[in-house]
Amino acid sequence: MNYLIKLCGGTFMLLLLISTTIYAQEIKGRIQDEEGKPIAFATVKIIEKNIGAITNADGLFKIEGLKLPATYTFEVSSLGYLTITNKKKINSTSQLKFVLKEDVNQLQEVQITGESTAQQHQNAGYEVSTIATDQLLNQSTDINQILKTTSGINIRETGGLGSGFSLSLNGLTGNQVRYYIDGVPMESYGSALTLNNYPVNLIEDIEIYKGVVPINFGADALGGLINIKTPNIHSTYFDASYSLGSFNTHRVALNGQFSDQEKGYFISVQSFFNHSDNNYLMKKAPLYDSLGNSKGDIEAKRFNDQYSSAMITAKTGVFNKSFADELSLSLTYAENKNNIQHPPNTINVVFGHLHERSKTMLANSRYKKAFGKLNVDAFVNGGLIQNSAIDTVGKIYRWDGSSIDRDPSTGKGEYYPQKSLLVIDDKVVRSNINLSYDLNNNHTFAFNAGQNFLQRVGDDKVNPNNKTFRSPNHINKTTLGGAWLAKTNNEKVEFSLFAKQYFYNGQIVIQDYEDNDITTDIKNGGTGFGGTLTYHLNNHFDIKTSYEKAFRIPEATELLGDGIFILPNPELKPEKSHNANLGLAYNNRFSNWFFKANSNLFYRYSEDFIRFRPMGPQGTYENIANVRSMGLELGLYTEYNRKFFVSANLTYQDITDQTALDEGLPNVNYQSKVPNIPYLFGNLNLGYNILQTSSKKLTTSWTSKYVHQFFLNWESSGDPAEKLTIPTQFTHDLNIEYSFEQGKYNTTLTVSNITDAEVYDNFKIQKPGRAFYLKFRYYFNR
Amino acid sequence: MKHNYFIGIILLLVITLTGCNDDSSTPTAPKDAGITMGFKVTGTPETEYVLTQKDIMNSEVTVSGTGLETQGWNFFYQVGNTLFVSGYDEAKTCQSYTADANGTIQKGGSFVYDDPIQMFGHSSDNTLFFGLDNFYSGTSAKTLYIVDVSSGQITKKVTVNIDERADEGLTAWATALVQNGDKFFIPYHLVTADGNVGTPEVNTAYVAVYSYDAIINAGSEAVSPEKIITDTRTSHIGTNGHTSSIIRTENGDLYSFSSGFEMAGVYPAATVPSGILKINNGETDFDDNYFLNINELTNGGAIFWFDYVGNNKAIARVLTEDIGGPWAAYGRDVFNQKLVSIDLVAKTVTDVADVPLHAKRYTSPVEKINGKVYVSIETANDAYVYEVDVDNATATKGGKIVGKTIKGFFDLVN
Repeated sequence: MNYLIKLCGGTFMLLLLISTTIYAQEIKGRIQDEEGKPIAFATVKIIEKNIGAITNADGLFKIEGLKLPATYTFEVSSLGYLTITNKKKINSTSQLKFVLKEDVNQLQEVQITGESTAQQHQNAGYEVSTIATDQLLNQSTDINQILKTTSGINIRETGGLGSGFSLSLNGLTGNQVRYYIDGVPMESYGSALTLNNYPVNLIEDIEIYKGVVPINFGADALGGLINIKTPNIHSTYFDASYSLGSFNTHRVALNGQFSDQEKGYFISVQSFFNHSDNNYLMKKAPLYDSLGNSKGDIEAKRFNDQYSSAMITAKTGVFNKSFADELSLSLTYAENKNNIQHPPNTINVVFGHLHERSKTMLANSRYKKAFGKLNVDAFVNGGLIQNSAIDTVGKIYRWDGSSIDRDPSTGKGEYYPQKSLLVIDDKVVRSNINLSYDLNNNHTFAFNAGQNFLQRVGDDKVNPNNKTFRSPNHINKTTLGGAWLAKTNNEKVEFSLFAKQYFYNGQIVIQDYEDNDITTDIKNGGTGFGGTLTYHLNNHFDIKTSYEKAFRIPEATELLGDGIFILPNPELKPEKSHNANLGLAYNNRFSNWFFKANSNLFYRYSEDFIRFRPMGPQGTYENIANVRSMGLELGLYTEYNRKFFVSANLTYQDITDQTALDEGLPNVNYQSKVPNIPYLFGNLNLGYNILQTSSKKLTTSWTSKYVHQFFLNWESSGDPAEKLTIPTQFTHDLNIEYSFEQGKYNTTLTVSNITDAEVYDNFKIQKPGRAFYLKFRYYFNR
Repeated sequence: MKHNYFIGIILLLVITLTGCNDDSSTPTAPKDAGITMGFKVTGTPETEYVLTQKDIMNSEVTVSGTGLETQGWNFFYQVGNTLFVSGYDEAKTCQSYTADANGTIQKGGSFVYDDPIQMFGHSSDNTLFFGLDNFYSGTSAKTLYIVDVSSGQITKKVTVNIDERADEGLTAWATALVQNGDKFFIPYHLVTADGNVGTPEVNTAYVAVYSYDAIINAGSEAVSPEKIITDTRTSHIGTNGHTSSIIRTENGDLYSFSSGFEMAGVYPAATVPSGILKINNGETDFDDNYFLNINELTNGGAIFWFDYVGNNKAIARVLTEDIGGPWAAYGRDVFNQKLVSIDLVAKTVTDVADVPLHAKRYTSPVEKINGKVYVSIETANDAYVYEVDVDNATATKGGKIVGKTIKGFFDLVN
């Protein structure tokens, strides 16, 4: 069976390469507002031909299959803008530009959830949510806070800014979901850059691929992928913001770009700095006396949870050249320091000095070019990532801030049995190439090849006994993908078929008890495939369905171990999953009402989940569990007269353990609901546009988030009266935003968790209470 | 209805009689709610429960709708009628459980420890519970937690040196904590301090001997052993996780077991046989005239776990051969443990009849309940409770375990 798939895949790719020799004609253009900002989702129609296109997030569109040169009448429209009609003579080299005027009687949608048009053609049928951040840029927020309000996504945090978190997308979680920035894997940036510190001002939009992921990322995404898109290289702007708030929280973001359209070059700098003391009040902190005896719960402020992170990216390059549509080079430096208040799963133990540091240097080069109908998009990057865990203080802390000195002769730290300063150095080299060939108006072929190399070396500067990664270990992942995308002439039906081949290999070196190196080579892989189908029923209804057999290649730690307690497992297989979506989208306008609704039924059957299995003091990661996740997401959006808007979404997921046998024994919890995962959650967002003139704008919004109570352990096991639960969360945030001089100056007040509710994502680990944030932003655009 | 009436009369009689025999002023003893167990379910997560069930022989043993949830992987250790559940995870919490007047199990005192306590013991009068941290790397001294059983609270933390050899890169890994009169015994493995837990000195049995008084009344200074006794007839004493590698008979004699198999957590494997050594009551040396060669008596087997059940008899699990590599006895790939009855004085080993070969990672110390001992027997495809008559080396298959394992069986009432 596998051979057949490989054979088919091979033939398919061959066809694809052969077909890259044909050419055809197309026109391209850009739609922008009066400030020069791109307008996404705008419609461009050629009246004479009755064909058209929709702009992507960069405001760009492409219409194919035209006889050129010729004169056509263009009708350009977009929600919130006045429609224009324009007659233009065009030839094959024309780059069209349309400027739309804002309809001041109308208010922009705060958030658009629907099909991403960023790769509208390629993405036909994928279950994608796109969050356009342009209405969120004035808020004191980060990606996690935005993603939280998306259906199907639940994020569980262990604290405030910079804290550990776990994102679940349709029930799959952790590294089963992959994160990308402009198509580059986020792991390249190390832990200095994550979803919980990346400021909103550096983001153009966020694409969320649910379960089924296009080949172009070259990703082993078992449960989906989130791609963050930064501002495009064609605009000139300066964006500076500063936010301050509760818990001594400061966020600064400075971004600027100069783009010369005539000479075809750009230069940009993006940077941020975040800091928070995260010293919020814990209302039920367990207190233990100096010996360790329980003294009940107290109220205590967190005292070792300070977090700072900073990043700077400089990027320059050329565009619209004969040899490249884009050729750019970027250099990134990022650094963070994260103090750790308690272990990730308990607050019984408290730390006063334990912290982590991370540094990343990354160089990335990108090349894009359209050779007629053949589009090339490639990047290569190399980076050095250094993560350190610092446990060098021999003390034991309690929640009241008191501490006890440990006997210095024991050499014990706060957390580790021996004081430790473990530095882990990673070298990464990643590259990716995407080719797409538009055969004609109906057919496109795409090809992807991606590679991802990691070498890891560890060195404990304090504890000579710590042999974690003392010898270099490495792992290399390679992916190949091919896709065929097609649509009918009337564009009613669009479909795609794709296949992905994964390979990985590596070398593990550990020391035995006599300090001899033991080297193990690993090699494995898998073949994934899938397809998408969209049916545009009419102007109001779309039906989308998609399927993928997806893989996640084991992570370095899972394969290589940690050199001490986690032994390597070269036999470890990839996790695999059958993912399917069935979505229905509806939109309509009734005079002053605009209404949009979407629903998605999802199904994930995942096999060979990788879990840690202890064996004595050590253990290995093994392929243990099968899990099925089924659920329904519902989203509604309505607005009245561009003045009031309401959006709401609700997710219900039924996640069950499908492992019939557990280490050979009948699994008592076979087909039981997997505990410690939220299964019912939703959001409500209300907005009101208090004042809007041509230059001033005062808006207010209210966001409520709900997560239904769930059990820590199996639902049917244990005395119901004594079961450990994570209680229902119901929190409310208020936002008031004032802008003047046409969005040049902006100030925003945010009150989060306005009722000061005691909320928990994880068992007994309380999240911040009420907090206030004030943000100032200056935005200039040419 | 008639039966209930009859049972009522019997109960009344029993209670009255018990009341008459009891010198204390408490009018009624706690009602017996059954046997309390450390129970682990299957699935992810493998939650562990403190489960109490009346009949574990004729019905399935299950936590469906009953039992108290615990967090993570736990050691279950009983002292008198108090059960200590000590977590081996980051919460670093030990919780005590007792039975109330109705026989209902409830939480008692709890405490946190600084590093995972992995070895347990108790004073011979059952008033003190001991916990000791062990380390897989480094050569630091250990901390002994002295806990008052009735309150479940730490009364003292004592720094204890065992046999840490920084210059040789070796450290002691304690395998029991035993008070015997005015002495305190800690047998141990000598493991590489680099985290690999290698045992280059495996072919020797080691026990550190302390003054019990010095331990109990220690100040801030570390307590060192009065002497370290060694024996080269067998290997390191005890196995990882198990707390009963030295057992004490009614007359105060101590017996220790040594395994030496790679699958039981030493590497390299020992070249000396698995066996039982003896320290006579009141003495602090191995009895040169006593050695029970388990390897010979079991056709090449080695003890993985044992515990004392009275009348000079011990119950043990014997690994029939050393297969599967390091730590294999801690997994569920090799099913080669047989249950045996050992007569320590007559020096005989008898297979317990009708018990299949099985795999068992961790066993709490056993308690004789109504003359019988209960064990969890886990084969490739199922797990059952067995009631064992150790004296006669017979066993009765009891209730099916609707879960992965039962770590221990405890009577917290009698």
